[in-house]
Amino acid sequence: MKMKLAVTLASIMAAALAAQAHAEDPVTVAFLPGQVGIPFYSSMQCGAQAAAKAFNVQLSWNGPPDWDIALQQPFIDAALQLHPQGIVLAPTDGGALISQVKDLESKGVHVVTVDAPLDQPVETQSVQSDHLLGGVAAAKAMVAVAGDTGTFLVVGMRPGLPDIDARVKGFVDTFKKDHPNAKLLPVAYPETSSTKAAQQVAAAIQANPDLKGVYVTHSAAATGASAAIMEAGLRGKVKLVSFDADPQQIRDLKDGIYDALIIQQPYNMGYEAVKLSAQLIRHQVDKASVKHDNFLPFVVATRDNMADKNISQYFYKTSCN
Amino acid sequence: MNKLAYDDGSTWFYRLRETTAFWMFLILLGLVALFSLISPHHAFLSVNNFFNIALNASQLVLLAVGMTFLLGAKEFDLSVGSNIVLASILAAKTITALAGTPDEVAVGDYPHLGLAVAVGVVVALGSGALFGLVNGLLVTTLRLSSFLVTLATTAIGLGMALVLTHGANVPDIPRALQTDFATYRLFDLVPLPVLLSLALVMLLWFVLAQTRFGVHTLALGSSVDAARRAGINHKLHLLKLFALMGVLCGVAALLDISRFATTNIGGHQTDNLQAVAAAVIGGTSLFGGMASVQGTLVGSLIPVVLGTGLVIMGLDSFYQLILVGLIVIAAVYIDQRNRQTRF
Amino acid sequence: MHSPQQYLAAQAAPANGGAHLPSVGRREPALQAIGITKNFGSLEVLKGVSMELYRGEITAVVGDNGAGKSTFMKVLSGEHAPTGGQLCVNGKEVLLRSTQDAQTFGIETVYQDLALAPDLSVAENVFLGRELKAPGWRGRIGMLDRPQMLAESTRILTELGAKLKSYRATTQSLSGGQRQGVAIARAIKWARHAILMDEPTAALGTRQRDMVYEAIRAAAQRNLAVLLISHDLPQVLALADRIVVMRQGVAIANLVPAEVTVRDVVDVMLGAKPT
Repeated sequence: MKMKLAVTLASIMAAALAAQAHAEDPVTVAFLPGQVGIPFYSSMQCGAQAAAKAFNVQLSWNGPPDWDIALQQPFIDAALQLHPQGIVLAPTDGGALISQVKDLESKGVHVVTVDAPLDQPVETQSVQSDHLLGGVAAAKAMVAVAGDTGTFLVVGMRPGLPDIDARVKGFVDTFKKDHPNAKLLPVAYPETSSTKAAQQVAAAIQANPDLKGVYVTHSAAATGASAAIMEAGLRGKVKLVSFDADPQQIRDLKDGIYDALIIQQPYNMGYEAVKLSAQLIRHQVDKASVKHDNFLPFVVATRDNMADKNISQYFYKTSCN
Repeated sequence: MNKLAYDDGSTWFYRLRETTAFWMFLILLGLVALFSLISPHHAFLSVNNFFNIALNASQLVLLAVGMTFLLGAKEFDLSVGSNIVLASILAAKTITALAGTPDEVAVGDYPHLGLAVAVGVVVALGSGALFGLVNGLLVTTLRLSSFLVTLATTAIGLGMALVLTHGANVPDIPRALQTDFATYRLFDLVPLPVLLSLALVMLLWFVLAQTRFGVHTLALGSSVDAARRAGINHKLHLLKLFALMGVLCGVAALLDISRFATTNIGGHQTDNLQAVAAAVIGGTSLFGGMASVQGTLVGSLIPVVLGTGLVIMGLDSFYQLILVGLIVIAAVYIDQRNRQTRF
Repeated sequence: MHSPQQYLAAQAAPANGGAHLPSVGRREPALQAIGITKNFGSLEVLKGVSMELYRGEITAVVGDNGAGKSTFMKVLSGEHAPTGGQLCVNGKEVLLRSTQDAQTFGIETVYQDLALAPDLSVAENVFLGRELKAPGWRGRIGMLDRPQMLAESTRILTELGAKLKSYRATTQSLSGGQRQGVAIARAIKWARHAILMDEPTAALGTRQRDMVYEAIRAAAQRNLAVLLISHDLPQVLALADRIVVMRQGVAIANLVPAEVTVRDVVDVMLGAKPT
């Protein structure tokens, strides 16, 4: 039964390939997000669907509920059974998926990665946020709200996560280079525990009466840090700069919990990746001319600029409308 | 030939057994003294800092005390993290749904906050208890090991949480929960969550050490046959223990959403092992029959004191993991040695 | 059902029950089994066992492996429901559906594995499942009367001659004989009519055995009926007031220890002697 289905689908696919000459015919792209349901990827899905509509793409969208290669692999396998003409992949493991992507590319199927790159540049293009620049943007935002003297704390997740580490590095390097008067505490690593983050930030407040700002690189750290700052009665005095723009974070920015948010562009990631895939399949773009890295810039939202449409359009969505 | 040494040994071992918690208490005092002395400007030594530490241990200690009861009865609950996540999501959704119309809630206006929070508390405790009861029923009726049952319900609970939320933390939780409860300090000093946890810990200490329920719990962990033949309904008792753990997860969930004004779906994955570690540090045996709530209280404070102290010292917080690990090994070694020599 | 043969002067209780032993007069038995049968599937383990246990008397049940001794004792202790037959306590018929039922009717059992919780203290074990509540408000909030439990356990064990260094100690820190003493003390504490003991000395050394035998005698002296299953025939002869021999699921003989030798008992057990 499965076999038969695959054969039927393969023949449909072959027919579709034969008809490729007509740019008007739809092309198939399998979009394999790293995690479904969260606002970041919902926004990316909105962008991907918008591009699919604009460029006549039959888009499939399937991924795991958690950021985990073991959970994502079945979705990848299932999608490949349908022999899509193009693949957009959010690799949940930069190393594990290299050989599969290499294999696909050698068979002429273009793979575009989003959100995170592979450890070797075997895919056609990687569309991602430049987390290092995100860290730099965060440092600038921090200086803008808290000045560049006094003590600052950076909260990571755990060492060895490339994107979070880059967010830390961009911030730390910028401070060391441009703001030597500021004192940076050792990076705190609470993993995904809000309680641990609260504990570490509370301890930093206790030890450093001149703590001016806390920079958190992910949401669990953000909630923990904001609780600790509030519990110390220092909201507004100790500035908090965080990443991403979930609906709750936007409200918290408005309420004064955060002082700046460093926002990625998941919508554009989805849009760009699907657009490029369609163009590659239709040979409107030559693979050789595609640059491998496509870094999307970060947007910085503060209480002052958040009402601006040019900023608020980047806030993450739970549904497209 | 029938070793009088055993008779002499009995009191000695009995005392030693009592000292697992005692030694750990000394370690705790030692750490507090050490950090107070060597931290810059003695920043560690302040009443405010001690209450911060208590606040940061207030969730863990509830789970650890629940785990103390289960370990005492030779059972285990790996699913506490999932239970907390699920309970916090259900409570948060209840609160945001009942506090006002969606439009009102979205702009931070909560006309029915009191009612919403009251129902939310009931939902959190009910959800937690139900989760625990399901664990207990699976363990007692299917006669499966609680380790495997709760490993499975960990996945099921997290799956349900993700189905309910699509992975997005519940937004628009009233900040009043934070300002009026979690960060509110009685006499400008004692955080309310600390009072709540402390009251529960004292109540459960009484239950374990002074009541029939406590004796039966340890009897079950010591010898199921002996307990059964003494007329203890062991299935019913296990159900109660798992439900107790569940209710404590519900309380921890309420502390979570009131303290952080959000749910933390991605977190709580290591809560189960932290709770076991705290119980074991306090002298509770993994082999059942021996449990100490006061020891668990000490065991819950040690990791937080270490974590806070190291950050205040400006040291890498990873040393905390190493030191906690070493302390766990010491505690387990004492437990193990007691067991081996007693037979 | 075949009629059991008699041996020497003593009479076996007929399988259909009813007749009393002349040697013990016409006292009411504390515990009486009448024609007890027990099948496990198609396997007939007890084929109509009748037996009376009298207050102040130690009755030993002996028999080869598989004779049905332990099964019979488990019927008396409420652990197995009999397939047929009657049990009477003080002349009234009772139905024992669980060990708790047996305990309610004043029958206590000392199991071969003792059924002690090794991590609990002596006092906690003696009172396990039947803990004393503290007087007054403390009892109403569920508090145990630990001092009273400790005092009573100490008293009973002292009377039994078991010398423990600490009654707060866990039972796993005690010697085998002391543990046996705790199990017997618990039975004595709660039994009102009968105590059943399954191989109470099997795992003990000589000196500890003597201590346990003392405890068994003490139990009988408290006007309790004692049923003792044992392989140790010389000791059974020295200790018991009466010996019931079981073979192949039937009580085949009632012996008076003073009148028989170990050899005689073994012969009856194995059916070697023509009866």
